[in-house]
Amino acid sequence: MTVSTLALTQTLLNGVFVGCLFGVIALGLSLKWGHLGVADFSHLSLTLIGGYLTYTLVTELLWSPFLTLAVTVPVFFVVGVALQWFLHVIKAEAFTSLLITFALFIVAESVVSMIWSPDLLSLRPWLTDDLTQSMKVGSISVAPIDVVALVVAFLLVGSAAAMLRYTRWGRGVQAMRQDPGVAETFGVRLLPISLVVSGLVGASAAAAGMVVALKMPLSPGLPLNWIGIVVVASLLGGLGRPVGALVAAVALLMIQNAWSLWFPPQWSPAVTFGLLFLFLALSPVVQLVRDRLSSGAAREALV
Amino acid sequence: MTTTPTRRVRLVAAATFIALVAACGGVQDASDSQDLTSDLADAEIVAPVEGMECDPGTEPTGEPIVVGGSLSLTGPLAPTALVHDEIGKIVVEWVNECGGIDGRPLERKVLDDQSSPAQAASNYERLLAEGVDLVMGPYGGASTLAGAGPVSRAGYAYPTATNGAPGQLIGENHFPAHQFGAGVTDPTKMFDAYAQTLLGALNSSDTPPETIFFANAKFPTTLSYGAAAEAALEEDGKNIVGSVEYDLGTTDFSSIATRIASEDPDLVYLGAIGADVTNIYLAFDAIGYEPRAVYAAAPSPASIANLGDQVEGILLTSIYENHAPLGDTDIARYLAVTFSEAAEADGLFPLVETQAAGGFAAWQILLTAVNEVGVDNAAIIEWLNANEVSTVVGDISFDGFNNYGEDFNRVTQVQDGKRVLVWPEDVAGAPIDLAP
Repeated sequence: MTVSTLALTQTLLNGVFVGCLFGVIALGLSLKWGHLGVADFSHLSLTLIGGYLTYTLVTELLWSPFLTLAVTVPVFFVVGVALQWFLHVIKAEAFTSLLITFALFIVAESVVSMIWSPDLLSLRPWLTDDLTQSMKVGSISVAPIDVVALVVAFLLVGSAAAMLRYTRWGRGVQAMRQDPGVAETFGVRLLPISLVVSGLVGASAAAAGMVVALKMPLSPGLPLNWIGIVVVASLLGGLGRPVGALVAAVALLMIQNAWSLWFPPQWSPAVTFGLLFLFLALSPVVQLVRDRLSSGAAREALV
Repeated sequence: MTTTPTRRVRLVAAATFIALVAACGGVQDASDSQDLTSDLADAEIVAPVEGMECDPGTEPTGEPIVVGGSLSLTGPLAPTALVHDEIGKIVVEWVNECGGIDGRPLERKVLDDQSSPAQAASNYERLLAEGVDLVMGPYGGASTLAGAGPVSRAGYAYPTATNGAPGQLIGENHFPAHQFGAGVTDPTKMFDAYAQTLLGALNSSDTPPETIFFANAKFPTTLSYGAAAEAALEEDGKNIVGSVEYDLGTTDFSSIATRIASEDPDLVYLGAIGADVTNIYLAFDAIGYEPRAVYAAAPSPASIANLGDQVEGILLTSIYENHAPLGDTDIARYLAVTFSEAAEADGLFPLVETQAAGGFAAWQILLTAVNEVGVDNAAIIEWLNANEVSTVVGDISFDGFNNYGEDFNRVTQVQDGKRVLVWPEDVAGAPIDLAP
């Protein structure tokens, strides 16, 4: 099949936009998994619930989807704090946390079906052309909703990365990740800091949910479709690394889209997991080479 | 509290940003376009099947007739299975409002199979062990086949609504409402009549499509539909300019949309289920492409309704739409009103179309036989194999392969925002309208 440069450019660009959405979802999972040691699968459910709350506020009160964040962000911050507090109170180990959040992930589907609808709900009829009609940039089409996804991704990932790197609080989070005991000795208050991280991750689910509601029809089983790409992006990007999660998600979606342009689209998920397999399989080899090189360098230094 | 000038500037900047962001979000009131049931006429209660008495106000007494069934009340099949659950509730209430069957109340016992065929089989075993009088089939081809084992072994009649695997033999106790095959005896030909119906519909247009692009979800029913349609259209001389399959649950269709746009076919054939149609249209939007014509097999009705004006003219697989001649009966009118009220309350698509009609027809098959021969499964099986049943989707006889006798696959088109059957002519509410 011959593919024009324009078609390839358009497809890769669409991969960037969809990757931004998955990158924002992966951001939350990566931060909690990397810094708090909690592989929080319920984060995906919280994102979906954020989408449903956005839908309700828009369709019932005719609020702007952006204005809904004024409600959902604080509420989800509290939810994030409450979940982490609960895990702290029951002294949940990593495996227990995984089971609990996975149970919440499964239960959330039924709860969403019961509260909203098991059927599809779409914000699309409620949005004006400003948000739904594509703009032409030269020969390339860009949907305004995709621009929203891009902006939200850059804002959230950028601020998370900046906070971790440049603030005292962020350095405390990193210290807690490296060695909680030593960090505590140096004055890092582990519980408050982990509660805030979890709260911020919850708040990010509200923003991601708003983008989801704008971008696609909502159905209770949607997180099952996301879980593969989000987990792979979190792992490939490096746990706890906001920019890594975004870059990995964007790269994965670009690869998937480019693949689907030339080859059978049904194989594109296999490409994602194939990359994860390669990453995991090659990691020990890379580590071995690194160790060899560093030990060689150390010997040379001694000589 | 005092505020410094810097802090005030930050506060004003934040407030301005929030106001700007809030003002930019373009929202319109779409309540009117979401009201799909405004033109449904009031209807008087009548018996749900022909030949049954209906005496409103008479309280049924005596031993209830218990109908057991398994449905996917949770899991990925739930959105559609809940339509069948809604129909079951309506039928039970309807029959009992009419005074029951021979004065006995109808009762329904439903177990959740969580969208798992293995659980469906286990549910039927439990229901049979508990001694239910009759059974109703589940939703979904795999669950239907799984449930068939215990139900057939127990000698019960097994009515089904919209079994998507008609080529898998169940037996003489199987009574399907969604009829496939038009009497073929070869199970591999079960979808050929469907393909000929689609071809007939397209060729009935003044401007039939010549170039067609196929995109099919990797799901048994859509793949069967797609393979039969592709073969029939190609044999008719149509040019198949592309054919792709995609994984179930795909939400990003941008590359498929780009491939379709590159070929710019006269017709896009979507073997789409669930939300696929909405997501594909969103992908078309994102690249600024408007397809000339689209046909979608097995999409969720809500996914079509959600797209509003954008899907004006779309063609769909259907077995029933609520208009004459099929919808012009007292039973169909009462069904339309009661279903719309119940479905709206439960957040489901409120119009009777393929799933609701197929579900109701399955109940009509069972109730008609019970009305004729009583609550005796052997007698019910014998009677249904020898007689024709009048249902909301048409008259059904069970005399072909796997007890399929006709082919009820029809073609619907969205015209002026409403779903209308356009083919075959005997059930059509309007002719097909394809833009040149």
